[in-house]
This record gives sequence, structure tokens and C-alpha cells, in this order.
Amino acid sequence: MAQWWAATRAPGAALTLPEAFRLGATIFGELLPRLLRAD
Amino acid sequence: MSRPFPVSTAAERMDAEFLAKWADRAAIGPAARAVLREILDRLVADGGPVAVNTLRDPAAVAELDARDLVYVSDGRVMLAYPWSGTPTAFVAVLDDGHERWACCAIDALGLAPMLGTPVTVRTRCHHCDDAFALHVEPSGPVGGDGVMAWVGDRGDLRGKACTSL
Repeated sequence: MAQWWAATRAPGAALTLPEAFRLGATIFGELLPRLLRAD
Repeated sequence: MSRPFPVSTAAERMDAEFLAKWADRAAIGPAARAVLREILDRLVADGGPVAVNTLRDPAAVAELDARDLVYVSDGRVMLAYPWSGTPTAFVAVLDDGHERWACCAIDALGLAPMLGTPVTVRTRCHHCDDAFALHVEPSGPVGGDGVMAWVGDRGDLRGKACTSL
């Protein structure tokens, strides 16, 4: 299994769904809207 | 539980390099900011890609491309995070029923908080290849117990596929 993961993915790490959502929500729910509003 | 792969957290992914990149992006000028708003609106409304010469200020797109906020190829904006103008493994079914593509898993999960409306993400499991759908409210995913997202050590994606669920 470890070999399969290493062979089929770019280097990186897995995030649980709540953590992945937290990351996506921070980027696209906070950082990007702030950038778009910054005039 | 022991897993055969590294597991990270959102906080760990938002490291100093990540924050510096966003600080750099925040320095774009007003023209680039306005055209990014236009591109994102058009990708939601119409899908894509978006022809650069149809934008109100085509010259401003270069600044967005240089900062990896969009990817331009052959005079077309192929993606503007979180949206892809061409098919990806992540189909986002919007609240109005329209289907769009997200660049990657994290982008797909960020759509509902960005739009303030629910989004259903359709994709396939990287492990077993089963199709599945994940309903995401602006406050978070509904269900999806056991689902994990793979986040590559991305630098500058430049239009490449990146993560999986």
C-alpha cells in the first residue's frame, strides 16, 4: 500500500476531510475574497 | 491509526511560504484585481476558458499570470483558482444546477465558502476509482466520513492537475 501511494501521487500529504475543508475555506472563503476587495 | 502515507493539517500547509505567496498576490494592482473579478465571475456564469481579448482590460491578465492566480495559454485563461475552464476530475454542481470544474480537491472544497451556497462535488476515489459525490455547505462537508484529500507539495501549478480525494 505504501508503495502504491508513493508511485501514484506527487509528493505531498493527505488531509482529513475537515482539515482539507479548512484549507479550502481559508483560501477561497477568506484570502481570495480579501484580495478581490482590496482596492 | 497508522497510515502508509504522511498526514498533514491545514495549519501545516499554510506555512510561511504559503503566507508569503498570498502576501505577494495581494500586491496586485487595481486593474489586475478588477480583471480577476471579471474572470472569476465569467467562469462561474459561463464556464470557460475565457478569451483574454474579450476581457475589459486584457493587458492586466499578465500580472495575474505572473503571480499564479490564473493560467493563460494560447490567448485564453484556462483556469483561475478555484475554477478550471477545462474538464478536471472535480465536477462542482452549483446551487443553480450548473456544472463547473474545480482545479483540485482543495479548490473544490473551498467553493461553497467562497460562493456562500452549497456545492456538490463529484469525483472518483483515487484508491478504488469509485465515483462519489460530496455535498459541501458553506460551513463544511456533509458526511464524507473517512474521505481524505491528497495535497501535493505544490509550488507553481501552471495548469497541472494536482490533488485527489
